[in-house]
Amino acid sequence: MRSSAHLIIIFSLFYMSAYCQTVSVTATGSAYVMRGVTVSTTGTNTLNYGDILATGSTQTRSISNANGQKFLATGTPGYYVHINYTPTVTLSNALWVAQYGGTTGTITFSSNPAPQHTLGNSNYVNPVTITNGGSYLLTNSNGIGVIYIWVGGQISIIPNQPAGDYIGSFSITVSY
Amino acid sequence: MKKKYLYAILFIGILYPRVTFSQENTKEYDLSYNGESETPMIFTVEKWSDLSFGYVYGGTTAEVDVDNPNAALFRLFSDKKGYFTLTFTLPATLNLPGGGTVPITFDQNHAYYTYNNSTPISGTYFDPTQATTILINIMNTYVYIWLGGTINIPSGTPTGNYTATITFTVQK
Repeated sequence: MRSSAHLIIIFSLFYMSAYCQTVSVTATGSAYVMRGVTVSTTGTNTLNYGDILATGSTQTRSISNANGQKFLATGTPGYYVHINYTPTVTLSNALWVAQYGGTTGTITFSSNPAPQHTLGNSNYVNPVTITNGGSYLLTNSNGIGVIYIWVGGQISIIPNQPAGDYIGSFSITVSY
Repeated sequence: MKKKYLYAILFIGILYPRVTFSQENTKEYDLSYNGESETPMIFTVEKWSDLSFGYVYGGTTAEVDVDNPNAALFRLFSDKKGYFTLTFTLPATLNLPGGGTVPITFDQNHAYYTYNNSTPISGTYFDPTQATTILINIMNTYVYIWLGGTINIPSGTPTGNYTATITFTVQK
């Protein structure tokens, strides 16, 4: 019986080794790290029309894109961003009237001509017109995707426009 | 006396091995195969999909749950019953070629297996950082194994595609 037990043990070891198998497969874990989009004003110019003397006639004042507000949008280099803006903005003198009195009024600002971009060039060189909602490439600048956006526009002052400081907000949205 | 011993030895020498092998071998055979036929085991492991966190941003945390289509998915098949040990070799970071790392973690809330069900329901969570033994007690069974994870992307992490290798090992 002892020799029988030995045989069984030897047989069992042989059997186990024959059917002990290991199989490996590999998979890839991945993530694409993006830089979040930012947009901010830059440069020294603003959309400030200065003092305008109201008259009995309609007046128009314009600021070119080159001399208007410059924006800098950043994100992941080589990726495209959508640029949206409000083509018209209503300016109001309500705050001024509340402080100093007088008659409230409004002035309409229109981003005409349309905003432009100069890719990664911070100077107004070879500007390209931006279609509202269009998609534009972020140019690599030291590992950061950038695009410069130039916004001018015009306002119309009606005859005998109420006096005051007229203020409004022009919004530009940049997103992937 | 000597003749008696000689006859006895011859008798044992002729009969004993035959009886022993025929009985014990059959017994061993039955225990090991659970009564199944004596054919080689068909035992396969496949990767069905990779683990992808997609687009992520610095300063954020991203998580892929097991029921997320972006979780890694493996499939084990065996035509025989038995115990199988599942082991993952897991990375600590996803890496950007040329530099840059993103820490990645795995835990028992992000690993799951089911029997014969390719959707992650009615299954079992397990800790992928430890070896896990499962039992296949029905022949021709598929086991589906999902692996998710969590990454923490530090602010200022360089942009790019971060990758790492996950190795899944099954031992019978």
